[in-house]
Amino acid sequence: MKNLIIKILISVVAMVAVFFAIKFFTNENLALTQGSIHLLIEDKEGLVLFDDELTFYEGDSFYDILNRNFDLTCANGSYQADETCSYEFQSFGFQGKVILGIKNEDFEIISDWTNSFLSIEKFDGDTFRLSTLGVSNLEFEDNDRFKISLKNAWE
Amino acid sequence: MRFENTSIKDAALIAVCSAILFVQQLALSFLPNIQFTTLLIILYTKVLGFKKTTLIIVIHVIIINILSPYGPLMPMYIPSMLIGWMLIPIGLSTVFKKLNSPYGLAIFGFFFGFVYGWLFIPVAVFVLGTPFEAYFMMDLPFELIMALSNFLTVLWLYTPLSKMLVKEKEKYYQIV
Repeated sequence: MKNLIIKILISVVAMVAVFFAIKFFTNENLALTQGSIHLLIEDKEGLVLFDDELTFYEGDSFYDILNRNFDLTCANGSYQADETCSYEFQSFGFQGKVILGIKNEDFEIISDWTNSFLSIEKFDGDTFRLSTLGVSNLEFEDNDRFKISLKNAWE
Repeated sequence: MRFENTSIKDAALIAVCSAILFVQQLALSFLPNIQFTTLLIILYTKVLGFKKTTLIIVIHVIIINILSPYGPLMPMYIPSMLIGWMLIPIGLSTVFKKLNSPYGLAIFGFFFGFVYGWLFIPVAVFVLGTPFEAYFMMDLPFELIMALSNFLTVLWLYTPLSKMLVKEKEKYYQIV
């Protein structure tokens, strides 16, 4: 009986500790001030579709900037296209929206998630580096440069 | 004749254990890094031994990359996966050979959760060009989930499963 109680206590402490550790490492990365980022959008062949500055405001996420300037298509819970972008992934360890498509009056790129995806890259001063965070959690500052391009998932 | 019988039984046992490993990982793959794989490999190592566990792991890595409905891993990640799972039988047959208590094995499983995640870093950084710091920080929550999942499953399930597997193994090899 005593052994069982110790086991339960250890398990609860471990779960609580890991929960708070994950919370600590998961940042929302919202803008603290107003500013602007430079965004480049390319199609599958590397053709530049959009190359301009986008303004952001205090409290914006990277997704908010895109949503204000473009018509987005997001993934629903089954990774199917959803133009309302109403679904947000809430799994433990990965939260936020997944965008499958981006368009305005002049261009449109859309991925199907299985064979193609929208690659988001951030300029590190020398080259564009693949982001490890999605649009809801991507870190950005004033004058940062980003590239979104349609990529084949199998290359 | 007896030798042949044992070999056939070994082969069947390895196939069944590989199938269990594959099915549970598939069934739980909608949950990020929550699985019984570490528990089962620890169990196989302790009950079936190093050689059989090695074969089970090799089969598991091949099968999960061929048959997973979520698609295969990038081929460059396969060595990381194989080395990662092989660290359990290697560790438990050498440095941690005397580790037998569920608490000790649970702590082993906890730290293994991080080591397994780190084995994928060289490929991500040197082959795919992902920045080290960003990848490390992004992967940390997933490593924590795997570490906790390993800790809890080993702590709670190792003893009853071990008793059951030892009993079933004895019965299985007694039948001629």
